[in-house]
Amino acid sequence: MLQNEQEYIRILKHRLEGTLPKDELDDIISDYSEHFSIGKANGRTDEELWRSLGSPEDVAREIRVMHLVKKAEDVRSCKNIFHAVIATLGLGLFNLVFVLVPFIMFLLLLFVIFLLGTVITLAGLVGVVFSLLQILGLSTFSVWLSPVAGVFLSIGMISTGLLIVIGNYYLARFCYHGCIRYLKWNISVITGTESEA
Amino acid sequence: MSQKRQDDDPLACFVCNLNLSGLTMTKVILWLIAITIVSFAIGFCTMALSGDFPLGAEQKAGPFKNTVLSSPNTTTFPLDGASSGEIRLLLGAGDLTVQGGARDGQLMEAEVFSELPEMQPDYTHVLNNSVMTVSMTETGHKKKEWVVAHLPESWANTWDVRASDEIPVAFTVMVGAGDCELILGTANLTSLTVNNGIGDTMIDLAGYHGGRYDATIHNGVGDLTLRIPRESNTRILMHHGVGDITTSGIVQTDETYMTASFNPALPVSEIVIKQGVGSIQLEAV
Repeated sequence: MLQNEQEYIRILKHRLEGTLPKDELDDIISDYSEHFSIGKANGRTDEELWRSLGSPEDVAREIRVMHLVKKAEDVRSCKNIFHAVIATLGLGLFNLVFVLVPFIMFLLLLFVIFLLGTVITLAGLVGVVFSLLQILGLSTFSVWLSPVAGVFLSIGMISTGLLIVIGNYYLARFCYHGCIRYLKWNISVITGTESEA
Repeated sequence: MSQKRQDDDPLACFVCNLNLSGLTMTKVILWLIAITIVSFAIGFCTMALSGDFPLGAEQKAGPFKNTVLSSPNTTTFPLDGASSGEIRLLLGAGDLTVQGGARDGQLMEAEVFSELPEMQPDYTHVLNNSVMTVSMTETGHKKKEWVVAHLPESWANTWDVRASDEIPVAFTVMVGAGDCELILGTANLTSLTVNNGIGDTMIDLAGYHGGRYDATIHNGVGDLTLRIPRESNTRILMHHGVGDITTSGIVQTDETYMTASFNPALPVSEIVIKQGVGSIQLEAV
């Protein structure tokens, strides 16, 4: 494979097309072209410049990850954070342990808390219905010691469940920010820009 | 015109006065906390005023009534001098466990765990010519209880039966749908008839040292596990439909399975298995 400027730019462009917006992609391509032009003006060959920049595949991967993390930071959504995490996995196999496992654990935690809140809320709703049926004298639905108390306790359960769900929402937001920061730190460690950051 | 109509409507005025647009998440949370505290406070105060709180020693399920699940209904049937017994169990839907180890002087001890009082079974016991016959029948089979028997609560119906090890007993077990477990290694069987429509059946006769017996096992849909003593003189006739058969310590000849030490000249315990769909596991232990 020829290690010249055209090939480098072609690979870089091919790898980043579809991920980055066109103007951002043009800026990056322009930067790298300029880097080659300046280098060659200083008497360096294409091969030397290629080696100094690193392989275009690796460069494209890093740019893509940084772009997706930035996108997830700017626009909060499950899709964006998921894409950012998946892209980060491509930086190294060990990220399966250091990124994917904690990410899945956080997801599970949030899901379990959400499920808990939902179940308590639904149980409260069922409790209210059962209390009312018990007050109406239907013995089959007689689960409360005191049906009147059951109405209030059920309402308490509903509001507790809703509080858990709302709390889970804020926890999810907190985890989202934490995840972005962790991904940034992870990228900086892998790409060796930790000290610069 | 429409403005006037809205002003006249008290509900519309009330909704407008709620000013929901000013309801921030912080206010929602504070309201929910307040509702939670007030609701639980009123609920427990109501219980206290109605005498249901503090809970008594027998009440362990919080503000809920003790379900029959946490306090099984136990019924015992004494031997009353019987020299042999017959136990007939008919359960429409639920889980059944039958085992030996009833207390001295008792033919049968039955514990029923059901969320519905209507699902308590009917019992009959008759002593005839020194044979005590006990029947335990799910009331859901009676016409008037049909609706109750088909409520979801009736599905959580569990029977735990202990039989006497002192006298020979003939068992007839019929289960419509549910898991059925018979652990009769300590019992003394005269016969055993098991019929399970849908569900897994486990019959454990490991350690059995009683007399010879004939057994018929019908299992419609579900897995069947049969465990017999290795040293017993047992022959099993198999009629099975769909499913695997796995054996351990058993010798097979066509559709007949025997224990390794089988001798037709000696008294033989014969078991007939009729299985519809499901795997069968035969073990000689």
